[in-house]
Amino acid sequence: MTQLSATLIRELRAIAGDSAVYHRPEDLLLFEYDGTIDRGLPGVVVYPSTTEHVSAIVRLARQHGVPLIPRGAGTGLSGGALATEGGILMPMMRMNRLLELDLENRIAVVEPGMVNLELSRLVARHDLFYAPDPSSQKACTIGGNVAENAGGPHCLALGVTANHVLGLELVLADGAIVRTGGWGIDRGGYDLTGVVVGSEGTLAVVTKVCVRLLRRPEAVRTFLAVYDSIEQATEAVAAVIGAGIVPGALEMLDRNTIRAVEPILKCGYPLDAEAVLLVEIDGLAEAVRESVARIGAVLRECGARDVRSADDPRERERLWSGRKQAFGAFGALQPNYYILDGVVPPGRLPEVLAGVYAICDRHQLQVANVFHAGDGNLHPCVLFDERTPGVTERVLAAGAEIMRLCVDAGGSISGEHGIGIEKRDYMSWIFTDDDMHAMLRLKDAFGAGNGMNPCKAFPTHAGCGEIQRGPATAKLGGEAWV
Amino acid sequence: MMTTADALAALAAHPELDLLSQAHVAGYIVDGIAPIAVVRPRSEAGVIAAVRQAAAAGVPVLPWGGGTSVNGGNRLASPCLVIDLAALDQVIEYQPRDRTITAGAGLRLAALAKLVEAEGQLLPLEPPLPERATIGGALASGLSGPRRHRYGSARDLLIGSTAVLADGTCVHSGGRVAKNVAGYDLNKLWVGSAGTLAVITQASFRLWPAPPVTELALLAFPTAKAAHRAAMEIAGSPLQPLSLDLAGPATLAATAVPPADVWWLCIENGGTPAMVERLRGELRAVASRCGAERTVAVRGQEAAGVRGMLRDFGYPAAPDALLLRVVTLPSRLAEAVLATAALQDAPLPALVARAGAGMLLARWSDIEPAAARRVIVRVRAAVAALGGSVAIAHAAAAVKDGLDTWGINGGDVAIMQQVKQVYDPAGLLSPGRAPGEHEH
Ligand SMILES: Cc1cc2nc3c(=O)[nH]c(=O)nc-3n(C[C@H](O)[C@H](O)[C@H](O)COP(=O)(O)OP(=O)(O)OC[C@H]3O[C@@H](n4cnc5c(N)ncnc54)[C@H](O)[C@@H]3O)c2cc1C
Repeated sequence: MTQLSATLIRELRAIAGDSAVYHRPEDLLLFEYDGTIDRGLPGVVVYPSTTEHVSAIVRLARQHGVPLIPRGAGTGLSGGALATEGGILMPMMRMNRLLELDLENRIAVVEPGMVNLELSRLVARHDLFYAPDPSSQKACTIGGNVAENAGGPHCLALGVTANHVLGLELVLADGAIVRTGGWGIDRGGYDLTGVVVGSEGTLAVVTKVCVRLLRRPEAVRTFLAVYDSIEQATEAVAAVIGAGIVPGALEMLDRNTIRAVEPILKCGYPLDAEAVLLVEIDGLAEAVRESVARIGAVLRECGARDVRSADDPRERERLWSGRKQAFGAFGALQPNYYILDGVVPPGRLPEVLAGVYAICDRHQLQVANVFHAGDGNLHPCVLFDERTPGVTERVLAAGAEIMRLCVDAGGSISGEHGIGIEKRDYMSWIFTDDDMHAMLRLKDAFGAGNGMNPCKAFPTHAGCGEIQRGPATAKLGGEAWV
Repeated sequence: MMTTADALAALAAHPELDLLSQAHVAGYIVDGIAPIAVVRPRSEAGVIAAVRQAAAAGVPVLPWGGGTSVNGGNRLASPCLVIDLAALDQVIEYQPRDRTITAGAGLRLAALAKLVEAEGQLLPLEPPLPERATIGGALASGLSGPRRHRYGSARDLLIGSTAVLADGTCVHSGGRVAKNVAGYDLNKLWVGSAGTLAVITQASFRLWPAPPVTELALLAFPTAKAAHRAAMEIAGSPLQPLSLDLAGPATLAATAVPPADVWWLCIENGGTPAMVERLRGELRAVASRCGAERTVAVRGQEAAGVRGMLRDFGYPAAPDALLLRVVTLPSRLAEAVLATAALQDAPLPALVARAGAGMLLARWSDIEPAAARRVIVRVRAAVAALGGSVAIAHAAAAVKDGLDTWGINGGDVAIMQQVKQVYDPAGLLSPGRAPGEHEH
């Protein structure tokens, strides 16, 4: 990695202020990681406070020919926010204000550094909320969500980030500031907002986000269904959907997960169960009331040995706690974990889950499954101790096999965590070269060049470095959940 | 370089294509321009072959679905080779348990609806004239229909697609699963691109369970303002109706529901019987708070008739009709109605609005070109003052001449032009129709 020039650092200071620029090696180490086990050391870190700062920084990066990597909270699980090629890393966390709140039209305009949950908190007193709820929502930013097209448990009924973003302000690679979309007005034209969502910071830097807010549902009830076999639980997932019910959330936790969380969190999951389902129904009071008998019957028909439900917020929170804090709890089993993200048609879940266990068995790895079952979005979490020689290679090999399994079942290599550097070489499993070249033409349309978050999201070209790995540390707090 | 005649000869000989005879060509006149020829590919390979031949000869291409809205958009710049996708009407994969379906672009929406209805499911994509409109046409024109209020618009339902670019490259994006973030989401680009970026050949959608009971509530208001106030109240409540449409005076006259000279707020409720009953009660309360003169609940055939009118409004478009699509923030819809309907010395339009989306459709059924152009200029000026914009959804070719029908401006139009440039550098797909191709 080339050393950045002193001039560049001086210019960055002039743009954003002395306190916004970090370049001493010990400071940079803090930015070497995101939520993955990969690494990448930036040459310099700069925190912009305004769109104008961003524009000037982007122009400077281009002028000096160095990579520019936008970053949110660094919770990403595909390595998207890593400076794998060095260059300027630009965390957006200081741009975190709520700029506009239009209660009549239920629209908010926020800066990209706003933490996801903070937005819902800010609008809660108006009985509104922001729907996409990635499990990292206490830490991750709206900008990072836009870049990854983040999902979450409640995206089953409400849709992912792309369905809730109404417009963006962008800074293009040449520093130009552009607004896309109608910001609440469905005005037509090419849907540039739609393609920038999910583009992982490779097309432009997002500096403002106009989002739709939803009215909080009138009633909510959470069901816990306990199963003695994984097959029964996955069949129940299919049966709920087959019964014409779209729950707010439909999540599954397997035995390893239950055994990790229950002793610590006392969420009420039986320790001898093979799987539990969490099903949340929300909406009109009538709908929720009627669902008690209906959902209960469907879950039992599939062999649930127990179905419980709660509408009291504290009790609901307890039922959810094992789901929400699973990843923190895994720390008690093994020091490290590696979270995968694949999607399959929900009907294929039984065989695919069986395959996931078989692959991990073969590699002698422990795996816990806790995931968005309703939309077939798997998150196998491989548990390991990186001090065991050769284990990281086995973990990665198992991960690749599991991704292949998802693809072969008619699914995809990422439902919500993005491609980043982790999966860029699997892209050819689902897309042809023609597909990818067609996608990459967008870089030209946005004038992004290769400096904007280089070597991410697509198979690498010459000039991209090797992935640096480990030491994998469980950096996530006990509150984190996927 | 290959000539047009060479290209047509190659197309006539291609096993995956049917070249229609001259007798059929009359059905494909757009903006007064007859096609160079019409081909009907039998497969994706046929589409690719047709686009490649056209590209080699420098012949422009016009993708054709059901022909229901192909007269919309900027005036076509030159005669084209029409690629009629009607034969790509196969259901490629339908797994009710996965709530997804993949079908060829030429499949009619009514046929698709019937198929999924049999499994208790619903594709809430409801462009006008579903008996004729195809999946590909609905996506390209970006027309979503009344139920977008509850389920979102075409962009929210499309999860994967195959499309052919102007150079014949076949491009897949998304997939067949509801959640998928791999690759740039080109699906979003194709939706609403009006055939200017790619020829859509196949699409995958997420489906919804059909509500067990539906019912249409009609609330009659003396003024647009009162009806709009009720609409805003409903949209902001926890009630989640399937649709929330406003119909101007006389617009629903053809249906059996009297009286005619009022503003009807038409709300489709769906769910279990208990939910529908609750909604009916809530709507009655809204109606009385907002000064409704009358409330009726209709079901079955009668409801289907009203729903059909709201969905099809403006279509099929008469040659001399003008149909404007006015969009504003939902809160400004009543002002948009005033800006559109209260023009001096212009005939009154018929109006339907998707109130939840802030979208107003205004139709003048028979209007002189000069008067139409005056209307467009005035409505655009008035709506711009509200922060909205006005697209010309349909107008006679003479009206559209030299006019930009998209009605959008802003810094992003330059990026749209770049997008057009990278996907269709020679400007062969639906020539003249891309955003920014005409002065606004
Ligand atoms: C415990 C845990 C649970 C998780 N659960 C979920 C979940 O349920 N659903 C889900 O979808 N994800 C989940 N994630 C993944 C992650 O939180 C999301 O991808 C999130 O959207 C990343 O946000 P961030 O602010 O941390 O972004 P970062 O990790 O900092 O960056 C992610 C990407 O966004 C780009 N980026 C950031 N800001 C901008 C900007 N302003 N403009 C342009 N590009 C930008 C970066 O370059 C990078 O490519 C989880 C992660 C963890 C650690």
